[in-house]
Amino acid sequence: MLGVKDLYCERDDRVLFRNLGFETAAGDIWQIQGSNGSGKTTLLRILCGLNDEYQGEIHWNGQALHKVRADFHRQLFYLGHAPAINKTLTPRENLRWFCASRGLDKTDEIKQALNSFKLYGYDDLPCYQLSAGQQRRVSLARLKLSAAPLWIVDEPFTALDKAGVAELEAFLESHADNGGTVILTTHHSLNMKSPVKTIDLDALATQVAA
Amino acid sequence: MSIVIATLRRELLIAFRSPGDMINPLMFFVIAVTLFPLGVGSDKAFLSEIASGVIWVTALLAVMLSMDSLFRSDYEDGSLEQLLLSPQPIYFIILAKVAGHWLISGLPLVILAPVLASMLALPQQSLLPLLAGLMLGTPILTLLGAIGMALTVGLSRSGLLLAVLILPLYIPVLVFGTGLVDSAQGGMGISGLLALLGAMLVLAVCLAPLAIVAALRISVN
Amino acid sequence: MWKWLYKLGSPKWFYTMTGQYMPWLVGLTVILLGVGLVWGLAFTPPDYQMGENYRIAYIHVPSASIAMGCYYMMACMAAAFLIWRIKMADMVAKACAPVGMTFTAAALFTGSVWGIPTWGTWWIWDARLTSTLIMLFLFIGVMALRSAYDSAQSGAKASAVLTLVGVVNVPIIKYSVEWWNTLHQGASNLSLSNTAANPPEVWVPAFFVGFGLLGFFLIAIILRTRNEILIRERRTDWVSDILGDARGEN
Repeated sequence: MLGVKDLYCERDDRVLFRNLGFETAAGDIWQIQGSNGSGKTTLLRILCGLNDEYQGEIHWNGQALHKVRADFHRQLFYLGHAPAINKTLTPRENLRWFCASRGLDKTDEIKQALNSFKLYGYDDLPCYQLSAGQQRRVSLARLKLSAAPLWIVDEPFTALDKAGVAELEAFLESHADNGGTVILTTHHSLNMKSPVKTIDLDALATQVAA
Repeated sequence: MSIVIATLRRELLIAFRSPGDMINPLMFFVIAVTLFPLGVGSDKAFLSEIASGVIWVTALLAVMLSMDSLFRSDYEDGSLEQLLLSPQPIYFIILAKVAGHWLISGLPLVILAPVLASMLALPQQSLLPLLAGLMLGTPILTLLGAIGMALTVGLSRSGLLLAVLILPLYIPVLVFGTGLVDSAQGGMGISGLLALLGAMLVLAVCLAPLAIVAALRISVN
Repeated sequence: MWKWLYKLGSPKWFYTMTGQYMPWLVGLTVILLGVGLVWGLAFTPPDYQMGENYRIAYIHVPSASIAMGCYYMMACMAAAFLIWRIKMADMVAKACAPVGMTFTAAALFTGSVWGIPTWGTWWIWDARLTSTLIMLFLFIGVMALRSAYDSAQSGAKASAVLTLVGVVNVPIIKYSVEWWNTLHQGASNLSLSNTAANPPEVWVPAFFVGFGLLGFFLIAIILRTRNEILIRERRTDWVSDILGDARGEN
């Protein structure tokens, strides 16, 4: 799957990480840990290919990432800080464009996906009428529609209520159980049955300093 | 190709849900043109002489001012990242987005132009060349403006910077667009100029999306 | 060839190399400019039509060509930076913008000064003056965009993209302005393209001044690039060695 070797990144003359290396496998859940400003989001964006200000190697199925970018993007689901939801559109319209942009022919399953994230009856309201937590759920409903094996999610639990957090945890776990891979950042302590591999950017930074 | 239709549909839906983005550039066009007779006097002969230039310059500024709605909200809500990570051909997604934006900002200007032209006493035989020029020229302006917008969307205060970057690039369209009207008034043929504007449009359609994609990648970085 | 290009892409090599050749370049430039200016301004006979005024062309014409050439050079550097990610290319491109802008401004200024006796006004919408003015706008745009970015990396890439967009447009803009000029007024009477008609004592000093200004242009670019190298590589060992030496000597 996704492999990283000797990754180095600095921002504004500050080294965020150095000699970072790991290799994900099918069924893995990886949690990137670190304090604010330690470079968690930067790392996720580098892995996605949104940020190319790094040195080192990133491989996808054994091939350099920049050579297999199209294939990689087909296999990747990324959810950033921002929900990527247009507020004037309804949840259904947002998800419809998402399906089209991923090349998925799943318009019939949109309602189901929204329902499974407890958005019954909200399909056709403009998103600006939804609460922050509900908007986050619309955003997360895309996970249901996505066919990608690799999920990279940045702070997915933001704005969710307790029940929502538990459901999302279970859902991420089931993705890993089905042979998918999840890489996520969160400040909340995960409550999962399956083992979670961690990368601690703070620890890495102290190693660099030492 | 379903992505092209889906993107066009999305752009048009967003535009119709927030009509201000669509109407404000149009109002700017009308109001700015109205200022000219108030500023230079209502002498019909003089107005008809400057009519095509006034309409072209204000249309050009209106297109530029409308650019903000093209990428701003997508940048802020994260949709732009999703767009750049799409496995679909991004060239066509961008082209569809720009086409959608032209339909809601450029085309209304062309449709409104005859009214303003008659208010400025543009001679009857010049109307068709004016409209033909706007029809071919405004998509070029939208494509070039989209490059500038893509370069500046990540910056907090980008309005005037966009003007500095883009207005010099608008000059050829302005020159040939107004030249079209002048040539028609002077009784010269206009097919050559139309072909030239057409060629510029083809060039812009081919190359501008590449620059827009490169610029967007920089902006989301 | 490739090895040489690779070397040129190394800031350290560029810095030491230009350091070695700089005295020669400066010397040559001083000689060319000195000979050309004294000859052209003091000894060349006045023009039978324009009198003494035409002498400003010795500065005006090369400035305009260098400014134009500078834009193309900046575009090549921008392409090299975007395609091959050669950081050196971006440093040169960054140096090109203000230098090119200054030469463009010099061409405009000398053109206007020349216009006063020739046309009776400092500005007319002559095709060459107009396209030089637009050139100035293009340079300003590239500089404004780079400085608007907080991140130097993003600013570099964004201004490179804008430079390339501009370079596609430069010929179109030039052509459109020339066409516009013929549509609205006759060709201007300020024509220097027929240098063949001029006697050697007019064009030989022009040749000297032209190459002298080119040398001056190169010096300006190289100095700015060297500064940029020192700033960007300040944390490397070789730069601290150089700066350490300099501090030791003082």
